[in-house]
Amino acid sequence: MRILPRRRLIPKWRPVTSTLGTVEATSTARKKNSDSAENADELNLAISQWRETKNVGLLGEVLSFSVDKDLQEKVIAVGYEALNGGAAVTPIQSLLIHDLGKNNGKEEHYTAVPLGPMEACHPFQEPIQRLRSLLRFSPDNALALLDFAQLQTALGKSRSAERALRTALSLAPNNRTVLRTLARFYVHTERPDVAHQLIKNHARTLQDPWLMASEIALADAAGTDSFFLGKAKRFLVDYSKFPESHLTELLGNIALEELHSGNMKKARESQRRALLAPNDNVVAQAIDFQHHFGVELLTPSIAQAIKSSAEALLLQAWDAVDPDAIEKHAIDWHSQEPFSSRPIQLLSSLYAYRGAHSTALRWIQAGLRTDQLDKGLLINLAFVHANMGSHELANATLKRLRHIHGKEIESFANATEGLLAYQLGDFADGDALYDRAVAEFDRKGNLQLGAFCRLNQAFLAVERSHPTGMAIAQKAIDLVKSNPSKDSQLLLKLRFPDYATEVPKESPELRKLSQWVFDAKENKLIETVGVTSKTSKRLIILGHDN
Amino acid sequence: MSVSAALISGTPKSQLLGKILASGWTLTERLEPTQGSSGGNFGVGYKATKGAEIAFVKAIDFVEALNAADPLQELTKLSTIANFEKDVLSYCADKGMSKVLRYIGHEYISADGSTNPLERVSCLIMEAGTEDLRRLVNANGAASCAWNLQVLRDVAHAISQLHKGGIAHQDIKPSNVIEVVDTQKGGNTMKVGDLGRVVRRQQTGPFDGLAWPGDKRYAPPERWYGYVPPDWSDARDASDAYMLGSLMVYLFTGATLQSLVFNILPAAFRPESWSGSFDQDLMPVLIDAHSKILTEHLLPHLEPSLADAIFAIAKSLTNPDPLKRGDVNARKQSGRPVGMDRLHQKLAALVTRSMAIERGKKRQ
Repeated sequence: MRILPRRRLIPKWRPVTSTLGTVEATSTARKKNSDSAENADELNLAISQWRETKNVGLLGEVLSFSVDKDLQEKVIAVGYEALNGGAAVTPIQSLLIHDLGKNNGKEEHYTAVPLGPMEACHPFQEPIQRLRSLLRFSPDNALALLDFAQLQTALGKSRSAERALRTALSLAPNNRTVLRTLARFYVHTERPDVAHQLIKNHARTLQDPWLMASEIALADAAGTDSFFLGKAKRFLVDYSKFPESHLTELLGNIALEELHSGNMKKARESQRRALLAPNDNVVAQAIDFQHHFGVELLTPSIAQAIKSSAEALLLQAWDAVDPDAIEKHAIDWHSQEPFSSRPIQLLSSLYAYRGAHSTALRWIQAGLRTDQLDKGLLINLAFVHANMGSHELANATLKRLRHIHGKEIESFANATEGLLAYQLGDFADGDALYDRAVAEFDRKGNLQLGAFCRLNQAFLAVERSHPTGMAIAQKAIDLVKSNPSKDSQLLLKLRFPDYATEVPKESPELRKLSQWVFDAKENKLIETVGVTSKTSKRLIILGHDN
Repeated sequence: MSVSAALISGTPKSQLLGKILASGWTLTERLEPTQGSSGGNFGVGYKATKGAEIAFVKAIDFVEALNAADPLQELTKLSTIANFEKDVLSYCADKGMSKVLRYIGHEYISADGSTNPLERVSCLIMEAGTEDLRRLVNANGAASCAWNLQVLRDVAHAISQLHKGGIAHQDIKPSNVIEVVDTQKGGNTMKVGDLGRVVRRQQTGPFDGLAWPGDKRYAPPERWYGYVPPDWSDARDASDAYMLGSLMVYLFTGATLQSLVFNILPAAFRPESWSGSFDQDLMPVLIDAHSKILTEHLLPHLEPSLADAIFAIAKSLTNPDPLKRGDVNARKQSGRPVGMDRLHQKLAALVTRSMAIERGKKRQ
């Protein structure tokens, strides 16, 4: 069962190669450098000299023209001519030719659990070794320090990670990526107040929409008032022609603030503007909060942003109850943010629902390496241990959970204890424990979790030949129908496929972010921007619709 | 025939084959133009002989200038450039810069023997080399760490001599590193040629106002983004240092540092896309790209026992920050010199060590 904490628009901490591919790492300035076109005649001369001699030095000269994007195609063609023609080529020249041919696109992806054979090495060993080597020779590489810190965090070595991040900050004290990463780290290590102070007090924040956005989100995480919220609203007015892609997180945060203040009209308008050119963070937030804002997420820029966000794709896959897509995107998300427990919670839940308990266990253990106290992972751990028949381990985990989180997790603990009782054939005790768990969920108003708990009970009751197993199953199915949730749908799809389609789907009416108006007389199609009412049509044809 | 060659054919400067200069030099062979050479568009190169001696003659005429939209301006520009290069070469010779291609003399010749001023050609006579570096790396480069270090030592020595004379070369690249026969010590040595694009500290020159006087493919990172540091050392001497660093990468890998770095720069940070300045958001990206290239591409090709020392020099030469580029200790001194003399000494020491290592390997 997954219990994710509330999502905020705090900065994402991706591998540096990914972050550098996003708008947030770029300059907000509009100045364009003039293009420095090289002389194509000189390239032709270099090519003819190389063709005469097939000399590696002259090939290096030809390859040096690859710095000019206009000449790159020709350089690549000559490069392949050298490779295919068996001319002398150094290993680095060969690598460069292939890289140019592939047009780059290399991104770093690491996973805590080896996706290949089990005998694979310690998690993150290869990238950590590579980063150590890089940093040994270039200790001034602030960006490598960020990646190193991310992997150290994923391994639970927070002190080492913090040292690396502080060194990065001392090397690049004004770098936006470094500042946001350190702030994200402080949130991860449950010091949102420190993160907030870091961004709030930084001189650059006043002029930087990304840092302003971070300050607003971090103030919320720290439970304090934002210093920049008012200034940010003023900034949006003063810089109304600022590129929307640089304002997306700022607008997204203002939308959330307006939402929490109950000002839905302003919230929707800010959300609409945030979604004009969203990044992966904003689009994931939009999916997570779609039921609050009630707006469609169908524009091309949103679709593009969703494609680039493993988190958003995972949330969509979860919403679509698509187990294979959930697995793929959860692993992708984890490889982008290996320190985050969220993707591992979802992934381990999926494996547990599938009955792949040993795989779930490996992922949970990897996640607990980062944070030994993670509530969601410990709940999943107890559940998986119980399913694997490891009663001692399940009970030990439950004891630990109760010690750390107290009554907060009692209903989850009771449900797992019910499972253990069923496994021992103690149906009466099991029934009582499940009843207690469901009653507690219901008391807290979490009827969907209660229904989901019953579904788990039903599955085990049938499997263990409970005397009233079929009745429990029927009751569970009825309860799930009246309190549907994505977890229930997923479990049904995986374990009771015959019943899976019977669960009604939510289909709330959503507002559009804009409307198209076709003027038949003028033969013009015009987009009118602004959030529509719920029942608005996507296209209005003048003369027909009104 | 290339486009450049076609442009220069037919004017007096290209009709000197077989002519004998007043100083006794016979122009025996017309040479193909080289990329980015200062005379590429204006001058024609000749091989000249005088007895057993060989020289390089750069011939410039003023006929094409007369066809320009503003002939007077073009003539002024041409003569300024020609005189500037002659003065620089002459200055270097006077100062005894042993690692710069030697200036031999300058004179005029009439292409057709007449007194017609349009037939007069300016001939700059310089020491001739055997090959440029590009044609030598095939035979020696990848095979010998010691040979690479010798080349780098000689080029560092040349740059150091120029810097001491208040000259920044600004166009250090493989085609401008020339092998010449060392008549005094025997064997061959490397010298730096093509001083047509230099800038002088105490004297104004025709290229001082250009965004980048040399070949753009070999420019240091700050110039990719249009940034010119205000201080001479950072703007000029540090640029030469970077180009020496790029030469080091070229010698050990066969590819220039610039081409390797450009290849891994994220699209948004490439000069054609970057909208910001040479600042806090860009610098860590450049440092990251440079350190990856040096660690992953250069380091594995270095002699293991010398790797740390060579790498340290490469790193100091190629620091993307022009204010920090150069010898670390020299940079701490007053005036913050780049310290090419120190780097030359370090490379010379490494040559000795690498030769000893290679001799030892041969014995084994």
